[in-house]
Amino acid sequence: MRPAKFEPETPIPADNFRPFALAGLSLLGLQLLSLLGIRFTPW
Amino acid sequence: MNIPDITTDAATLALWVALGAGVFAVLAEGWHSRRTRRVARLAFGPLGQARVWTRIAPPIRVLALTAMAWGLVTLFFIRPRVASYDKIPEGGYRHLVIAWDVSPSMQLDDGGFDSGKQKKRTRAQRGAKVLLSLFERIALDQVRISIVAFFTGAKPVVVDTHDLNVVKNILDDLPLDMAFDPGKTSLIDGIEESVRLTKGWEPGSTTLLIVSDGDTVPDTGLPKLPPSINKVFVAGVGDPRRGVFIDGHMSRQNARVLRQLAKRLGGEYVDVNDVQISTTQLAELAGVRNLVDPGEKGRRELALGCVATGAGLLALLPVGLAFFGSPWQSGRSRRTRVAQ
Repeated sequence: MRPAKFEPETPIPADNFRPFALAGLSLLGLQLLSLLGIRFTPW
Repeated sequence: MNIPDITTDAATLALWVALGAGVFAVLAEGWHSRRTRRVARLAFGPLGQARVWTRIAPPIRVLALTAMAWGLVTLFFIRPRVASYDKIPEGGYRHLVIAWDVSPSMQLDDGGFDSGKQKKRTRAQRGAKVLLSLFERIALDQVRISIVAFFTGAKPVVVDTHDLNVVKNILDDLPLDMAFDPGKTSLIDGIEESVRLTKGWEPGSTTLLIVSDGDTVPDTGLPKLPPSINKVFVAGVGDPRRGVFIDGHMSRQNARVLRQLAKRLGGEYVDVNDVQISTTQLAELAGVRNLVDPGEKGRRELALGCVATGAGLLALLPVGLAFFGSPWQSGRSRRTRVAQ
């Protein structure tokens, strides 16, 4: 038996929430501001 | 860019932002309901009222916005998590060498009862279960695992892997006994091969774990452990009281021999047929800190849940309100227009 060497070939999943969280927070801010007036009458 | 961990400060900030968003949303909803009340008859018909269920719309909107604000700020501060397989922890890796008995007697089904499958477990399955439980409790990203299979001889199957699936595959009834000539199990060979493997490693960096149902060990000829091995466990599988007939002899867990072996190697013997290896015994493996803070895990999932639920509610609420909020549809319907 000869030892076999393996290299990972599948992509490694990684978390990076920062840019998405930033975009989400901006949209959330706009939504909050729109609550004050820009709404579909009467809701 | 140096991104901080989710610390107490960030957690507090997330709470404050969520509270701010909640208060702002309450004020906005209050203001809006006052305006709507003024035009109620125009909007909702002669009764001047929407359907009763719409009263829960403002609280839902406030809750969804608050949850989203908390979730997004929390996610913002959770540091990006990438695989750090080439990141070497301080003091080097810990090594775990498993000397794994693959003799046919390990396939005898006196390893306890598997309540999930409603059948008896083999000794090998019991050993694998104990090892998998152990992997859950140690800092795996700082431990490299090697497996030495032994039967009539010994062969390293995998050396220094970080991939748990490779280990699981080997432990999951891989017929490794095929790689050896038939005959009597030689536990000493397994230990010798493990010693050979660990010889050059950092002193005090290795834990040797021998999983076997026991076999006669000669009184002499036990190899001297290298300085790299600083902890030895001998885990016995199989019923130590009731024997099963195999290959012309009665086979059962030979607790006396295994205990004696553990003593001679300066380690500990654990009868894992009934109990697991306790976390306190794993001090060297469990004591190292995970490179990824496990505290982030639950928070991450909760934050993702909050954002998804909040966004879903905010998206569906206007649709529900527009179609089912009021029996009175202001404006001219298509049917009226066609009639004219």
